[in-house]
Amino acid sequence: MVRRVCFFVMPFRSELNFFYLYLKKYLEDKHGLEVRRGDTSILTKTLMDKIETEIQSADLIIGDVTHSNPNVFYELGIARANRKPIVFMIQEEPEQAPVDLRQFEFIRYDLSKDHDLLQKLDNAIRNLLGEGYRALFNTSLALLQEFNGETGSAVVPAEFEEFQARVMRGERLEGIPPAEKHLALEEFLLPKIIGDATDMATIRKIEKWLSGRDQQAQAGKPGNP
Amino acid sequence: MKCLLVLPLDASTRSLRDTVSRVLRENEVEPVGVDDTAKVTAGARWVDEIYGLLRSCDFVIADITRQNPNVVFQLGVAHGLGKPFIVLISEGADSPSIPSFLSGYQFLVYDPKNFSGLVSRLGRVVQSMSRTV
Repeated sequence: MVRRVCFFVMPFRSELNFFYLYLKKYLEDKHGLEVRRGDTSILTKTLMDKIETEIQSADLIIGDVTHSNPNVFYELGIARANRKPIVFMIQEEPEQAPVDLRQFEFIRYDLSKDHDLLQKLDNAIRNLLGEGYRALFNTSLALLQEFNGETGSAVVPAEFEEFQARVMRGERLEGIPPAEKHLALEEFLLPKIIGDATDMATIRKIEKWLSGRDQQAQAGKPGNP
Repeated sequence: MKCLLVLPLDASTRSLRDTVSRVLRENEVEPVGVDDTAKVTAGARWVDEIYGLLRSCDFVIADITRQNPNVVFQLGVAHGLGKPFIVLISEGADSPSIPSFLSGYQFLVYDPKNFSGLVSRLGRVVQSMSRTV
């Protein structure tokens, strides 16, 4: 599983470097993202071509429009044209923003309240990248239902937020198996959907059920010894 | 052929809009966004409407004299959609420098008191644009 890429659009000003590095470290650790900026890769093309390529290959764009830098607005326009999810960050009141931000995900922040900013970033990223997790959640619910039915259990599913947090953690550590590897994906998902993940009996039961499915699949494969 | 005008909307630029629209019509290009933009700016879905207008146009003419963030954002969208644009800048621009994202583009510098020079140059650029787009 390739890590998802978050591209930062902000002015290249030396006093903002620490701010960027702080957010980069946080987003990489907490959300398992790969965070990049216009100066991350080596310059082989003109800067704007390079930034356009970066934007096109990113999964999420975060733009800080605090200082009303024209380059930032231009790059965010390119991101919009490429239909990328955008998070706008701004220190002023959003009503004073030079572009109408109400239809976008936006974060008003204060440099003296770092935890507040990080929390808002968490929410914005969950909202924007959450759709993929929602699909996994539905797959997992169906899987859990199958498990409950076949084993006569009544395991309660976790809330979506909890499930998503577990999947994100797993995504960072081992990566999400691709959909075509059914069993690997089921092994990955099922332990994350159970409501009480500390119940050893349930976990044993799940492992047993999954290994049974594995054997069935092996036996069912034509031409396999 | 259609061209989206991204020009500041106030009384002082009325004559610029009229002039640019006239040059476009003389070259059989339909100017878009002259009055429509005024309507959509009030709405919350402004960016989406501009986005739709941009898609329907073949190229864009924008005035970046004031480096208005809305104008710059729309130019970025035009860039991302692969729409060519013609950039206008007034001789009396406050900013001494051109933002770096526009370096390498051709500018039409105009005299805000006398558009005669702009009319002939813009006419030529629009003609070549109509041929290549």
